[in-house]
Amino acid sequence: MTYQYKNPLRALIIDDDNEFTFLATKMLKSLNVNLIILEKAEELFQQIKTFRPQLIMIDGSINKSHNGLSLSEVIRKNLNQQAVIFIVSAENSLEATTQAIELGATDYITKPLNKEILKHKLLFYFRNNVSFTIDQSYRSPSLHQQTIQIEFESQIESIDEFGIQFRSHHLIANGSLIKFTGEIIKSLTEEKSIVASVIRNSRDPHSQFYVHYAEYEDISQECVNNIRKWLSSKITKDYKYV
Amino acid sequence: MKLSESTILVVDDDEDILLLAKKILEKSGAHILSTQDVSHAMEHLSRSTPHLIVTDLDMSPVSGFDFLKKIQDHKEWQTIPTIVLSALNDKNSVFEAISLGAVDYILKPIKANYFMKKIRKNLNDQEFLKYDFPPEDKPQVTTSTRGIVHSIGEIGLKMEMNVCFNSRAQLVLNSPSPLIPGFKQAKFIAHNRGTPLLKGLFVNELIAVPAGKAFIQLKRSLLK
Repeated sequence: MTYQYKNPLRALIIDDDNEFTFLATKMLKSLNVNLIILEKAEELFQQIKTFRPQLIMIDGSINKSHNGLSLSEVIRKNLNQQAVIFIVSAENSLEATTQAIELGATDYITKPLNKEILKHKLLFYFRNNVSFTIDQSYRSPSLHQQTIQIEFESQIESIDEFGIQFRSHHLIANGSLIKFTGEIIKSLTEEKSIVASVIRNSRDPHSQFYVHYAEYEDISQECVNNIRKWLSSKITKDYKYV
Repeated sequence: MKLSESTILVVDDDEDILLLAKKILEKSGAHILSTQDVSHAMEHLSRSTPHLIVTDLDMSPVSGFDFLKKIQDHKEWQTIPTIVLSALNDKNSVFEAISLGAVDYILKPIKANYFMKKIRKNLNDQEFLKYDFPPEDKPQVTTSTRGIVHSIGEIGLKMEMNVCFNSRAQLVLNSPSPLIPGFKQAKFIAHNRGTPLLKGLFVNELIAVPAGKAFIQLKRSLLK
């Protein structure tokens, strides 16, 4: 299985250690990341506004006036709440790590940088932006058009005389023929299944579902009678003639 | 409600009037249930729910008034509008029929145009039956549709169909015909979200879980 980012990541590195920036550049470029490298913190705020990085890597001890930790605090509080901030430092201690996280950093990485760890961390933090592809070779079947029936689960919202309204995680195109089977269908009609064609579909704005309406297709008079009988047993008039 | 899609129950002890009413109504494509006495009418009602009932009043042994009462007493039948077709033209009969739940009163003899107008009007006024399931009790159903196997890989296949599966969808593949010998069904999971190919047609990448015997069988017979 291979993966790629749907949109290239935008990353920004602030470090005055040339060897580190060289190494990090090489690693990140191979991971298809758009990169800006800054040696001094002065330009940082301007770059964050224009380049809008998703990932900011800060040296834990960049210089005396702007400590890396205080930088991450400033960025988190004032500039960018969403960005993933890595503090990179040679110091490997519990205090340093907890302090960095308390001050708004997302993660703490120790020098020297390891490509596999960096790759894994990026994959985790930007997992919503990743699409996976499976490496497999495909072959066409011998019979050119091989139809197969596919079953999936749906939820019925309402039933009326002409059709069924149902919700599903999947989008079903208008005009598709759908076969319904299940307990509720059995109680509705003596036949095991009902075939209906989708005539409306729309996305439910409040959930991840699609709502479809399908009209009965090729339905017998007996089946219509059964459905009407079931419906009239469910619906009661709330008034009575006196 | 369209007349051609509707079912109408006609009750009258006079055979000629029954035939005439049936002939007029059937012209418009409506499905007609007709009977000469109330006990048969009740049998019809227990088997199916018509959109409209047309009944005579002066019948024996059970009169039309009693029939109207029976309809009103029955929870499932209350919703069906009932039209009276009668020769009784005194005030009291009309009043009683209306108070027993009849929605309209047509005087005999039948005039085809007037009769049809009344029927049409009452069908138009009627709302069609619809049941909304309560949010906590929406029944699960298995929905199935057909697709074409586009190509087959080592652990999965690509399908062309008019459903765009969400990623991680759990699916079952069935063979609809004896085209694929030895194959009954196999479980699959949709990989990424389906990609649109044409309008209303999507390509879905499905992976067999587990990639076991059933999938191997399917693969073998498709690639033969």
